[in-house]
Amino acid sequence: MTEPNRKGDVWVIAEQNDGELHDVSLELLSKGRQLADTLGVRLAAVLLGAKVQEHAQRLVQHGADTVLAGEDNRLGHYQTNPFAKIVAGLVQKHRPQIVIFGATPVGRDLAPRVASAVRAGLTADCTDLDIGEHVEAHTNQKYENLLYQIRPAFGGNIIATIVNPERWPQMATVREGVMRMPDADVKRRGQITRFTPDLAASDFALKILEHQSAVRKVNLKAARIIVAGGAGVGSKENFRLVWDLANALGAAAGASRAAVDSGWIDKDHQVGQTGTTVRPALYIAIGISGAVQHRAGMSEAQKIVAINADPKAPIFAVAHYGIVGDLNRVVPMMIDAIKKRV
Amino acid sequence: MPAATPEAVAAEVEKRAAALAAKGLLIPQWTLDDIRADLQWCGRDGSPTKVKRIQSVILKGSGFKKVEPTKEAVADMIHELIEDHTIG
Repeated sequence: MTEPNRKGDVWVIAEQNDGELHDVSLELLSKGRQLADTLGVRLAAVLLGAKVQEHAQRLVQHGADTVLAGEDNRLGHYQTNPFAKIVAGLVQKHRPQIVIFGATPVGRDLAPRVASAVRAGLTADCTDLDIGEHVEAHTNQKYENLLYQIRPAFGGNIIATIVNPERWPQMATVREGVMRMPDADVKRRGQITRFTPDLAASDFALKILEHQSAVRKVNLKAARIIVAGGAGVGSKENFRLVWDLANALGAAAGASRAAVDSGWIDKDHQVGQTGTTVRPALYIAIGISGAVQHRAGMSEAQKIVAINADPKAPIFAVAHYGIVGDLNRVVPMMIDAIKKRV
Repeated sequence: MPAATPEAVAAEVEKRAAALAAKGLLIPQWTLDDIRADLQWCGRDGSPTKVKRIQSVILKGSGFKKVEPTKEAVADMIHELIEDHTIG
């Protein structure tokens, strides 16, 4: 067990794949910066890969004070054992007080390995992080400046705040898209420490023979406008209305889990707790009731238009414009109005 | 019906286990000692993380602009969204 280091830095474990820096790394730096400033410590990023110099600079421009950049040609693609060994070793050596990972497939694999190796606590799939105090009920012991690891639980119906008072570092994975990605400050300067990880051939138990990437059909996170359909749309044929409105607006098509589970649209389009978290300028929810799991992924849109036949649908609670009516009539009206005006 | 004694239950368990083993169907059960588990790290008490607070998700209706499902009202809404540069 690593003893708590109350003056330790805040760490973000950055992620790259196929030579591209993952967006979530930059999102985490935004939150990590806030946490580090609150604690009065430095924000460090850890980046491992075959070539990391260029990305290390980007991490500085997005808020990191220091970057630990480990380079090895064998680290071009993620592998559990070597990555976990390196990160756990760095944690034990430098003793950060907070370590955050993206809740990506890589982060979800790596974080528990590291937590187990250093005997630390880990909270998965957080949607927010904060700093605060905690009083242990049984002992009345007070802890200052703990990491509040905030995440939905029980299907998103409650929000739990988790703390890790003793077994540090405090570790969490954070969902993609829930933190804002800051603009780069190209004038920002930081310290980049390059190192060659100490890895043995035996650390690479797996040999990657071939690497294939599935190309995502839609980038919802980058979409300025999203038109999303839910169970209320009724059928795959009727989902055409969602596509038509999206095309008229030059928008991306999204969907609730119900629509995806019904096979009306691909899972890449799913918005919500088990899909993508989005923050578009405009989100048009068509036939989406607005279950808490869906709202968790879209309620931060700047403008929300809800179209639903049920006036009591929960989606109206987060809407800016609400149309209670038959979507088969309303959506064509919208398309018509857009074509006349744009 | 009288409750079975612990001895009777143990004997029945042993009998059934023997029957399964004879058919090659018995799945050996590992004990804490077998896996050298440290109870300090097991269960809720062994978890490094503690739940500090639980909050129910409450819908906070901030109020929305109701748009009638008519051509005119829908066109006005689209106009507003264009005017404030949300669309376009």
